[in-house]
Amino acid sequence: MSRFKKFLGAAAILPVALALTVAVAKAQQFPSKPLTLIVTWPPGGSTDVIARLLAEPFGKELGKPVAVVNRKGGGGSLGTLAALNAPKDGHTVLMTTSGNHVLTPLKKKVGYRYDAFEPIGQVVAATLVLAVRADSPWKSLADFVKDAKANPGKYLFGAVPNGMPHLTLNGLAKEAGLKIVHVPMQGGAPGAKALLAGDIQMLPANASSAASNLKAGKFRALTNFNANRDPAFPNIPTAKEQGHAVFGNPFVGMAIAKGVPQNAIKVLRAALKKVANSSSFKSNAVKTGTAITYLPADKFGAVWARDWKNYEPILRKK
Amino acid sequence: MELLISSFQQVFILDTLALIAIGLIVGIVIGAIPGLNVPLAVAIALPITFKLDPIGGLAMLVGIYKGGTYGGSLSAVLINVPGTPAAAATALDGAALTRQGKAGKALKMSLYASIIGEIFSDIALIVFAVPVAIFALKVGPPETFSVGIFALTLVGVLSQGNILKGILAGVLGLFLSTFGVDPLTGDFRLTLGFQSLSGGWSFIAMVIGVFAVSEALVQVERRTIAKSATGPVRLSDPNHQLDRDDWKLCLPVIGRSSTIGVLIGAVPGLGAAVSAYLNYGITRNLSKRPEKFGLGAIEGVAAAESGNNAVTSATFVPLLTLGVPGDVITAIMLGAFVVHGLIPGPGLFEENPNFIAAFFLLMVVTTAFHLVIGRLGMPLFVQATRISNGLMFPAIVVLSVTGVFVATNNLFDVYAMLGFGVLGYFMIKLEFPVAPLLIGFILGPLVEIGLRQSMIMSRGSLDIFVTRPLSAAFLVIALLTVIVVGRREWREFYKKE
Repeated sequence: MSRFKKFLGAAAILPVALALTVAVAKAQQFPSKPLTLIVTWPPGGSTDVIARLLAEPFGKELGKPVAVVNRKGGGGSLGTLAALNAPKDGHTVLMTTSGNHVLTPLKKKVGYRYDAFEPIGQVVAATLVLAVRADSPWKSLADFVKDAKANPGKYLFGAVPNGMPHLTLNGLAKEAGLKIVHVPMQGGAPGAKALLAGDIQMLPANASSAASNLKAGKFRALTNFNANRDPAFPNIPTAKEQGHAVFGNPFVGMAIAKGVPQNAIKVLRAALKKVANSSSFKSNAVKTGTAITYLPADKFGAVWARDWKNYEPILRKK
Repeated sequence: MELLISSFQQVFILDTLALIAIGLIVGIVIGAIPGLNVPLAVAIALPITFKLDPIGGLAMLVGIYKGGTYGGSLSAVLINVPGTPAAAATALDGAALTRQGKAGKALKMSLYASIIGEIFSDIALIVFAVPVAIFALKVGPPETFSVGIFALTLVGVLSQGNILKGILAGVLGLFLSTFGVDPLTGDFRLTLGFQSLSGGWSFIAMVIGVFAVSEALVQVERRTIAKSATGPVRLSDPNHQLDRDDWKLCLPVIGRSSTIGVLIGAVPGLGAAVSAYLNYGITRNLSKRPEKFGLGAIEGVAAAESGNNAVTSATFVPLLTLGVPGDVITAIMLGAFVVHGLIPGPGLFEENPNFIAAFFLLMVVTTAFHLVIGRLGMPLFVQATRISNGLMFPAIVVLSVTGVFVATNNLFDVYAMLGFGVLGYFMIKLEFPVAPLLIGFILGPLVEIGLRQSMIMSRGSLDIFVTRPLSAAFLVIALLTVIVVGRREWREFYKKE
């Protein structure tokens, strides 16, 4: 090889080396540009509202603005894939939920598993309640179970197909040996309307979305499916208290694609921890009917693994 | 009385009034631009409102909502490209009037019909919220199915002379609506292996494709530069005026369409586009001169526009009385209530009567502002007819591509839009009406979900559709429509022979 060619080779390597140095320097001072927070559900929904409430203080903490982007569709898989395929520089964060993170990849071939992501932290563990109309004869879970056992196939419940509320009520039916009929709904709102109209007799729902009708006395909640009572609804007993160990806790939290530099993940985790525990963010969230249940990354990761294991046998076989 | 004073204090302050005006202007512009649509604009504005007080924030969102629902008619009338799906019915006669040099006439009617529709809707929200909500609750799955069937029978009316081609286009629309997620099992179907199709075909991409892109292709082919107006357009010209006969013809139409629009708005899941088409179809069916429709019938514009804007306040009826948003846009706006700790639903009237009173006043004031801003802007809008097609259509295509991409963040939808453009081009060439394609696409999910949910509720018995009175009534109307339209079409066919 001639000297000239060697020189050319070196000259070609130089900018690459320079670029690498710059890249390393940049990675060290994460974040170096505005961040994107992907929400896999439509704007205005409960996940979206929490993400938007979070975006501002989170951005302040990081020193760069955070833009919320809605990428809905495919049971949340389109947004999840967008987060997975984004450049692995830590600037694209996923607002992840049970639906897009665990249930959708178990139900359908979407090209990712729960462990394609690193947890940053849990923000919300939603409370599921079983709501009935105020004029329903059932006052407790026991009333309902007794009646439903005596009349198999008579009572209807509405839920989005294979969402957490649907699966949880199926879980109760299996545990208590009931036969109840599922009417597929297109979301929480149509379900609430159907219950108000009396087209269905019960509605497993997020407590926050049923809150207005619960507070107004149009709905009564027979039970919640938490391990403990929800401080926002202290009068609603858990299913376990009433003798049925059935649980369902849809989560909302932050995740980022595997392969992102550890130092960036560290920065994000620290920022989320600080913001999620700040009293101003918590009180803003409570105003919207959602209590913040922060969990650090390792525990949030354990929740993913637990839910994956729980729902795999139910959803995979189809 | 106290409530009245406090609501005046919240609404009649400079900030709130300015926000209403900004919202309306933004809404009208976004509504008029094909590709950019109202839900998107409301979603983008939503986080801004988090920092404002609740009434101020809602002032802007309501302004965008009302302005945007109307704005779609501007481009529909002026360039035959509906800015929003709900304005597609307006284009049928509005654009025909523009071609006759009567753009001002169509624009005026579309504004005044929209405003009257909004007034009906405001009154329904403020005075009749409770009975309207009771009606909305009566519309369950069987009724949704029957309304959908009734609306589908109007495809024949919207076929503009060729009922067979109209039905084919409608069937294609129904078929396209089945792509994506099976609404009842949540499974993917007909995704053809494309991850991006798992959400189904994008409706925005379809509307823009079949109206805007196809029209651009037709224009390219013509290779002639043309514009509808040569000199400055003055709205005071007699051609642009509404005369007494027009009003005589339109006022009853507006009254009926507004009432129907209010009821449709109050039923969650139907929406402005369904209302516009349904009212257009009903008006043509009941008209003494149905042959004029599609060729510049002013009452067609009145029916479609009063029908779609009458939805805008009525969608808040289920939100405020039942806690259930009435359409996509109110669902997004729910976030603006909730973030301020106002949880819409029956409890809000007792917990926060001040807010409710101010919100009602806000609706009325927005309607008034809409009239003023719409009328002031009209001399400007109408000048669009002076832009030559050589400039207009490239600009529309650029706006459409960016609009669809911004709306969905997905390049696939941009390609889909171009594909629909080619489909629309062939439909124009082969003289297939486009409206039935859209109406089939909108109604497909309503009918499917309504049917399958009803079947589960009744354990497989079809009786449920006739034993529920409201459902039976809609089916009877549908049957009558088929008989009446069938007879009329047959006679026309016979005459031609």
